[in-house]
Amino acid sequence: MPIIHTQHISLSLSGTPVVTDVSLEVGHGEFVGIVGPNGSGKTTLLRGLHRALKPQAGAVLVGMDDLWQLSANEAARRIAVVSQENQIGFDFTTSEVAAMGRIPYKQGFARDSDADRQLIAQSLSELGLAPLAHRSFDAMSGGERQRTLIARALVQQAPILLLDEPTNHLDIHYQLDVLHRVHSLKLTTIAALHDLNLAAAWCQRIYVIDRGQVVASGAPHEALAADLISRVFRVQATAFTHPVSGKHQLLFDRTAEEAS
Amino acid sequence: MHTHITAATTSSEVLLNDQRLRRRYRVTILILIGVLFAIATLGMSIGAVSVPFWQVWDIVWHHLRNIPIADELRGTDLIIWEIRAPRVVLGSLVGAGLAASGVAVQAMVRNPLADPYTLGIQSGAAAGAVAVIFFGGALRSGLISPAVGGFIGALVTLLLVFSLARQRGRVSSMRLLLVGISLSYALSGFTTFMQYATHDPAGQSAILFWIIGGLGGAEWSKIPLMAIVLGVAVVFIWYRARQLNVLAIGDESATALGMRPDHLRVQLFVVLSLAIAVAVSIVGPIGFVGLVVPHVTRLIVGAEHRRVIPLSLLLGAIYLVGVDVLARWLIAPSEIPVGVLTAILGTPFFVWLIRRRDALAIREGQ
Repeated sequence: MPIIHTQHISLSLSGTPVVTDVSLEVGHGEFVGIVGPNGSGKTTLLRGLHRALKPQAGAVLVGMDDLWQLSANEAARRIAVVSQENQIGFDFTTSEVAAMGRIPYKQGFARDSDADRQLIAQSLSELGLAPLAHRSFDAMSGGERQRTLIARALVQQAPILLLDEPTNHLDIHYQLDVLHRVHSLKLTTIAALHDLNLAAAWCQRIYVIDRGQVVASGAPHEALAADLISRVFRVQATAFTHPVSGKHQLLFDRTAEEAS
Repeated sequence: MHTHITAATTSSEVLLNDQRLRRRYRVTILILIGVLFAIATLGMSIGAVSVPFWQVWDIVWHHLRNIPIADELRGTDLIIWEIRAPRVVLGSLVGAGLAASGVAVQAMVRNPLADPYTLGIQSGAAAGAVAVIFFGGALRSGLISPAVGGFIGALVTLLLVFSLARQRGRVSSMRLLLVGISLSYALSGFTTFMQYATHDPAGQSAILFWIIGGLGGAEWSKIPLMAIVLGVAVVFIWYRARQLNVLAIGDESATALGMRPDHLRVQLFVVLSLAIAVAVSIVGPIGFVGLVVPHVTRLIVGAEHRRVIPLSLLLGAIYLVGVDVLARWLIAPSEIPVGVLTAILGTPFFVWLIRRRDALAIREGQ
């Protein structure tokens, strides 16, 4: 039984339809990728999977419940989000940012309990951030900031994790590091990813989005078939199997315009 | 206090450091309560007639316990209890209220360089009060005082800013900031015009108060309204401290954590505007407290609003009462309006702050 699924949802931004009639299903513990060209609606679709954007049509079900029938706090206890907001401008420390994950559980003047503090410290140390716990969030590297936001999601104790381009602006080490750490958390994870080869290497299943619709889905070698990717991304793609990992990967040479 | 702790590697060490920081925070609060107490004593003690510290508190104690004052102290009692004490209390309330409002406004518009007056309330109040003085003479009507005019001006401005910043039922932080600032300019121009066109000297000096602000008119009768309105605003901000942390980060994060950032921003806007409107209509526009104090507070305890709010209340009270003591002392027996001095002291600080931020940004390679 899927832990989160959408039934024919359509999403608009300021009245312009961006995602139309998308149905997807994600099972418990799955790591699912959403890929697509710039402007295809990846981020919008991800926003429609939590309460950032209400669907114009269709429904989002979390377990048995409609996402929009849950209270905002209850929804936040089930779905954590690592968005691209990682420049703050206020001088929060790593541990303060992670502590924000307790908000769906705390009303008004409620203080952090010892259990809360323990959870925060453990989450930081799980992501290798314990030495940086009292450092300024804004002064850290992109990879460390991304890990802090993942620690915040852990503090939120939600079974479902949504990631919006978690590897953006990171060097190759931190791209792999972030995905490896997310993978080892064993949460149900849905990630919008820019890099097709990272998606192919880390995701169990992939949805390819083009112009707001799902054009392919399945295991990496099925969803990321060379001819489909060539068409959707307007490039010349060649598929191969990675000699070491054995994963499905792609090579690109020319754009479709050059080739014709 | 941002200590760079490199030794902490395990979660238990993180917890230990947390504990140390909490203890340090509690000590800071206790020290600042002591400083506020000292500066309030100083504020009641110095002036044209200097009164020893012990006598200040002796008189205050008599009033608090409702014990009659000895006849030979009547004159001193009048100065302390009727003139200086309400001034110190009003200064503490306004300082604390403006500082906490500044903290909340900065989180609300997600810009650490905003202040309570960024929303245009100050300019609206000034324009309203000055309009009453300007047209009042011509109309010969004593129906509304400049203070009431100032309050009405502030309310009209807040409604205007709010409706202009609203689009499709949402109030974005950027629109709030831009609309507030541009409206401030328009209203200041209007106020300056009225000041320029007034030739009657009494009218001119009355207008001046609404451009600079000051604590000179402090009396007990003005305290309860101020205390209630600012108290409600502060309790509201404090209650939302946790949410303010996320509001400062962004709406996406706030929504993901189960908040409704739009609702919170509207609530904050209404509560803060009313508090600021009341404060401005009683003491005039006292600038820079709401900008300077939140920053000093963050330098001391970092950005976490659950610590920033209580500390900014104390620092705001200390700052305004302290500057007011200076304002009365520098050119004694005459005095400088406190609003002038907060601006003169605030501006160099503001510039230093901007330069420091730039230096930080360069060091981080951005």
